[in-house]
Amino acid sequence: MVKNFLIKLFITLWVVLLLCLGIYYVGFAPRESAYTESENRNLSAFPEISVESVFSGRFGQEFETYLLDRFPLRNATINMVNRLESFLSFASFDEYLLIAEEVVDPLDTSDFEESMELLLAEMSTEPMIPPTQPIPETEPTAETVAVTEPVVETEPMETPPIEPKPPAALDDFPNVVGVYMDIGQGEVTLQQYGRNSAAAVTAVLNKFASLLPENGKLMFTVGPASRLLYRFANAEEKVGMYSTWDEVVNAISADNVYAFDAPDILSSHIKNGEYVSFRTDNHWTPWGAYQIYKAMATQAGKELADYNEDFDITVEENFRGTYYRDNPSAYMNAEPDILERLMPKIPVEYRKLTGPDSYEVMDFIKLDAVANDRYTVYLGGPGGPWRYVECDNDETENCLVVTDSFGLTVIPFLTQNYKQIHYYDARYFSKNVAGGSVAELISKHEIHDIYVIVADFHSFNSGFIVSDINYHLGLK
Amino acid sequence: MVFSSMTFVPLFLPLVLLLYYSTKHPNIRNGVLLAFSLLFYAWGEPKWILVMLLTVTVNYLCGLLIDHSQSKIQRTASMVLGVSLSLGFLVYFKYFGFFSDIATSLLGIENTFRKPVLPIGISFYTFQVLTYTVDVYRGKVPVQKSYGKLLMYVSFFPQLIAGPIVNYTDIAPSLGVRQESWEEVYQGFTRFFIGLAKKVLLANTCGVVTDKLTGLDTLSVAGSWLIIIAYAFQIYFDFSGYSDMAIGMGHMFGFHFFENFNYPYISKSITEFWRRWHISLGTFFRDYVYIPLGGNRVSTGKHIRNILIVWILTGFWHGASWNFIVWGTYYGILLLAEKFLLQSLKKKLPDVINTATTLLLVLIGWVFFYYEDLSTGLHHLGVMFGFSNAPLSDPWTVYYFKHNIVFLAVAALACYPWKQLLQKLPCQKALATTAVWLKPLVVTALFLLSMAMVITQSYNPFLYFRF
Repeated sequence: MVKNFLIKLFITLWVVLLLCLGIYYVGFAPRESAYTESENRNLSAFPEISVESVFSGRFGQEFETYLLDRFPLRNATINMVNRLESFLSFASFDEYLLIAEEVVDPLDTSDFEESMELLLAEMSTEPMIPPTQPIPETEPTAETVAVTEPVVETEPMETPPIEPKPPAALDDFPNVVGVYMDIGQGEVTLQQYGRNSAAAVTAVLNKFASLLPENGKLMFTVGPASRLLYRFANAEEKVGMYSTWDEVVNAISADNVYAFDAPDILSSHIKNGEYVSFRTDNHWTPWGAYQIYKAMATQAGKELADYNEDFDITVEENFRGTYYRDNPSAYMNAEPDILERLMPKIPVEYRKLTGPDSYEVMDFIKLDAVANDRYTVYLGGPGGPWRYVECDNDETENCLVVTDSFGLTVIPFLTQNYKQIHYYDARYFSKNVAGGSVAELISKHEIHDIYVIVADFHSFNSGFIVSDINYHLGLK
Repeated sequence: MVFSSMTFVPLFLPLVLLLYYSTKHPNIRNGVLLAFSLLFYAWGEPKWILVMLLTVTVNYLCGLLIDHSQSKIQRTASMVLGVSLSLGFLVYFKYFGFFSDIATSLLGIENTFRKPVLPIGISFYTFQVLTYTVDVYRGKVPVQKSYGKLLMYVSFFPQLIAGPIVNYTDIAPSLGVRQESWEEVYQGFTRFFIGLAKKVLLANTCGVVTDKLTGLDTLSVAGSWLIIIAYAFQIYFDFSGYSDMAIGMGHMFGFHFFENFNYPYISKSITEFWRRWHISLGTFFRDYVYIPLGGNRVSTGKHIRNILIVWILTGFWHGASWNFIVWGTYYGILLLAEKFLLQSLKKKLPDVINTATTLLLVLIGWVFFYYEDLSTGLHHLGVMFGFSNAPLSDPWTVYYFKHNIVFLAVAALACYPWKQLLQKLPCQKALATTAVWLKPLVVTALFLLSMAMVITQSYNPFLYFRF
């Protein structure tokens, strides 16, 4: 009797419940696409019904995706499953990070090697330390006037003089340079590069530096992927992190080129338990970027921006980045990062060139990209063809940031030090739209200092600098 | 459409149940099942329904011809026509590419033939419809005069695309009037929920481990073992889960399908393994290939030939590539060895040794089954048994093992028939009473968890769909 009652109850309950779900889908589920922050993507819209879509089977597939995306209480369900997976797992996300694959952009090796050989050949025929050259005097063109704002005449800041570097030869350095950490067991290699690769990159930096005016400086650093920093952060004993490539670059580069060892700068902050790199993303946090900025801006002779005073800071507490995009595991979903959005208090206008003499204004902080995996919250993410920030401050000098995504979080701090911060990413550069080669644009926009900030996977083992950036520079 | 989809569970299944039970008229009920079965099949790629309809029509007409034939020659010719055309479709869609590759490579010319796309479930429904034609020819069952009923037998959605292969003789009485009951529907629901849990919670999780580890650049010894153990779990819970769901849905509509799996991984011999694994396929090959060839009632030489033919065909049925032929031949040889060489030795060995060796041999077999490229499979075996310079372990293997250890442990436990063990306990009466209350709660929890995983997981293939 009891069994029969239970059976009837069970069946009725399930049929009614499943039917209710079916009725919800048919009658009440939203039909439009919508963005979901927790999953960092757009949920499916109701698929288009056509003879073609039905007969090709596309409708069936898209309909299933739609139903999955529009399941009621979807977020709560996903959170529940994530928690359960984390609870049942005997591995941790930190373990995943320790062995995670590097997020590397595809590299055209042949192009890279060819460019490197050419650059090394150039270096061998030129003096190792090229003299800094004053920028050629050019009359402002009509285009320049249209794009750049009139310069406010103010007293320029005192820039530290450039001291000549002692002569050095590439042979003075070991064949292999890299990034290392010491966690109490001696040196652990994190990244390695060939000495010649460092020399080839230096050759490109020297070319940039040769375009700068007197006292103009070039600051160069390589942003370590956060997984490397987490290897250090997770170690029980943290002695330090350091690079050796910077010694090569600093020694054989022009007098006005300065290389900065980002792992060394950040390691002291990591030891203090500071939040300098994301867990779910391969970038440094704005606080990490600020440490790099401080080192560079000090070298450039700039008064440092104040992290807390000079910016309006808003916080996004559910940021899931590139690591999550590549491996959307329960851990990362359950433990998202915190992303601080720094909006300069001084008025700034962010412009993207749409032609040599035209631009469109873009959001400096892209609020609707808070959880986007492409790190687009700052300046809309990496993009082209040439962009700049016009700052309402008392500065007179302009700078150029040559970067991939790693420089985007440094740019907000530079708004306190430069009138215009130009930026370009070699992957998206267009000579035609920007109105000339990078060398011509450096002259046109009266660039005083250059900041070259790239990810480790865009540094010495990649063609990003020696091929792409070198090519766009437009110098032989 | 797959059973573990949101299209099927909350929309298709409740709707068909509601419409089915909204009438008591058997023909309308059959009409509902037929209409929904055709919709089910057409959902993915509607054009392939024509191939299925053609196959059914050919066999329906051949069945009528057999019935009306006056002479044995006419009957035989009609049967051969039906079987040949059905197998012709199967051979064309499934094996044309394979044979054209062989032919062109032998002739030394480029293969410019376009390989046909495999209609889903063709291997299953072709075998099903053959049982009808052959059994009518043998006089085991009367001819089916209703085209709709024959079509429903072949296209009945629970077993249409991944089995079990249901013999027409077994199901023929249920094609007219069936005895449905609350108890049957309840059993159907619980079986469906358990099958769904096997598929979604265990098979999919193990599948992720297999895929992640095979995607690595280097394979370690531990990794190679974990891959194949996880794959063994994946294929078992994937296929047996699907069979459970099919059997469960059969119950919901008053059909009784035979079991397709019976805890195969506890087998003490390969012979026993194949009595417990994909039972419906084994039964088909026994009844329609092995026995017609003479079975074991022939000379030893012919007996060996019959076994090898059956197992090469079994392998080839699973896929049109050499690895499946090797896999089938491997089992043929193992079965011959057991039958003619090892029988007395196995009897002397303790059960645990026999089970362990059987399991080891099955795992080796899965390596051939998993890798379509034979050289990769052999390399994998080499790594498993230390015939390479592969490292003993690697960080990813350790990570995925630790990450999925609970699921792997549950999968291992679920391979054992605990219910049979519990039934032998002295307190089994009390356990049975508790089970009345507990079962609905447990299956409900499993179902909810499975649905939650369906929503979360992007990995949800059915391995046996490709056959």
